[in-house]
Amino acid sequence: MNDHLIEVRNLKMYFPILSGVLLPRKVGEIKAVDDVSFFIRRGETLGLVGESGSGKSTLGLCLLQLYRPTAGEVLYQGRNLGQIRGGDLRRARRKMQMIFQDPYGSLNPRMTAAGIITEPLQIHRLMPRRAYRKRVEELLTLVGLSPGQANRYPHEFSAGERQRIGMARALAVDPEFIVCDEPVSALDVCVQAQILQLLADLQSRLNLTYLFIAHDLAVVGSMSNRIAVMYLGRIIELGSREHVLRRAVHPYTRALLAAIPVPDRAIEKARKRAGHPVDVPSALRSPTGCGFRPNCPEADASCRNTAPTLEMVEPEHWVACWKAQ
Amino acid sequence: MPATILEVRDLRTYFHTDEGITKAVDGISYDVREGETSALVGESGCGKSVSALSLVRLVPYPGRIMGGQVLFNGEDLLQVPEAKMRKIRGKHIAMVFQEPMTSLNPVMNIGEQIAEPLKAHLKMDEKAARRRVIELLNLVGIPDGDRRYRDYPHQFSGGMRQRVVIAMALSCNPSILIADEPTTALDVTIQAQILDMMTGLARQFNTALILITHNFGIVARYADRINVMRAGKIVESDSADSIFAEPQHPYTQALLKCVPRLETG
Repeated sequence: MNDHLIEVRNLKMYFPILSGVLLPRKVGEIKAVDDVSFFIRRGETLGLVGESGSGKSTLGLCLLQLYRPTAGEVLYQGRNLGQIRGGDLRRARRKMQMIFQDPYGSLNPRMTAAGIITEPLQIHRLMPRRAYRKRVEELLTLVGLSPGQANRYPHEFSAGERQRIGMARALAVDPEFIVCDEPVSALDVCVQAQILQLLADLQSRLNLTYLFIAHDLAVVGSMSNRIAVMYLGRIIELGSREHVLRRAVHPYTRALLAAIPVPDRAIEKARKRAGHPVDVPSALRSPTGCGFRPNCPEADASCRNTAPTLEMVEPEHWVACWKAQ
Repeated sequence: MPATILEVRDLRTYFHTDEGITKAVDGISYDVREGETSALVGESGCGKSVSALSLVRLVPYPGRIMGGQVLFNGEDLLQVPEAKMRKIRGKHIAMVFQEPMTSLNPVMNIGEQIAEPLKAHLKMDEKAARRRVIELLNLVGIPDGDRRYRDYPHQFSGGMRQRVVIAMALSCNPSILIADEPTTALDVTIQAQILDMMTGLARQFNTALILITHNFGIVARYADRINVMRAGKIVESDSADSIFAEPQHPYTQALLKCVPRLETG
């Protein structure tokens, strides 16, 4: 029995593109997640970084079976989630929850904070109705809100407060694993810092495991033990925070690091400009071989044939690049 | 020391709503020098976008400019007739907004859109305008201008559309370019290219750039001067070097402390 809470094996999520009105036929596919394998240890935070079209959000949804993967397996504590349905799946799902990006879209505007937080309790039938009120008060306090606000509606809260309500909702059923899908992207810098702090506190208090999805490497870096970098549906680099931030190997990771301006005048002045132009890839028409090839300063003929697989370049540090071997 | 081309003095823009008056911009003053890149930085709701719109008198109802002066080459833009203002917008002072899709007309090809200000302000004829458009497309990093002239905005990615918007903005060689969160909607790697291109062109043509953003990394990389805004007021205004080295105002200090740092070493 290892400490892998989540194991993902050869996960694929392809979306068909249909054409035609009367008799739609499949004319192509979007390979949103294209053969991804990794694990997450109990208690750790795995950061998942990527830009638009990388597949990171889709991957998060696949872990929770909100999308049923096209191929591959998601194992929770050794149990294959793809093989269970109905009541079994619901019970498994109690342990896995999600926090969303949009503080305005992720809460039902017609429900009070209390209603939003008790909904999962009702679905999972965890406690008698009369216990709800106390649980709501506990949870609101846990996330830094006042229990007196339980009967307010979402529009009466600020963006940061709404994210806290979302977190209270996720924690209501006592989960072990939470997918945080860009939880702070829509928030101002100071509120961001508070929410990240709250997430960290909750993790140590409640022994939570996180998959932290974001496009902002600085935010991911501050929260994660290990980081996976995604590009066009594949993980192209995976390692500890130090590996990825200080010893990145893959040309895309390096381009990403160079592109991020740092709020430090001295560093920025000393930095050389990010050289090679990078275009947004299309998951609809991905190139043969390595997906990054058209934008890679180091690509050559060998990169055209097969997509590289993740290979270890140093202990616990994996890179998918033919040029890295 | 380059000449001062814009002086904002005690600018006030209030929104009169049923629930009361919101003082979006509440007495701000700052200078813009020729060719300089200044950043207007603050959190959402601080009034930075409204202040930029106020400079060119594009504040939407129920907002109204209540007072102050915007001296452009000595003339107060808040007092000139609208007809004169129309000659200044797009020609001497240009703007780039955050959402490239809503800034571009979806039913006009991009060549025509870039040519519009050239014909309207510089009275160029069709041929001259077309030549200049292709030149501009090249400048902003869209090669093959001849072929792409007739393409529509939806045929471009977000980053490319923003390049088109920047081409439009720079077409008449304005002395001031106001860019309101020009790259917030774009991916990080594209963002870097767009900002590099925009600031590079501004330097090349000696255009003053007013960069409105909430991102301190962008400010550190590109700005010469910084104006920090909070609740409608400028709380600190200094060179970028000074502000990063020794922020004076507690709000600036707090803001800088909140920004997550990427320790790449």
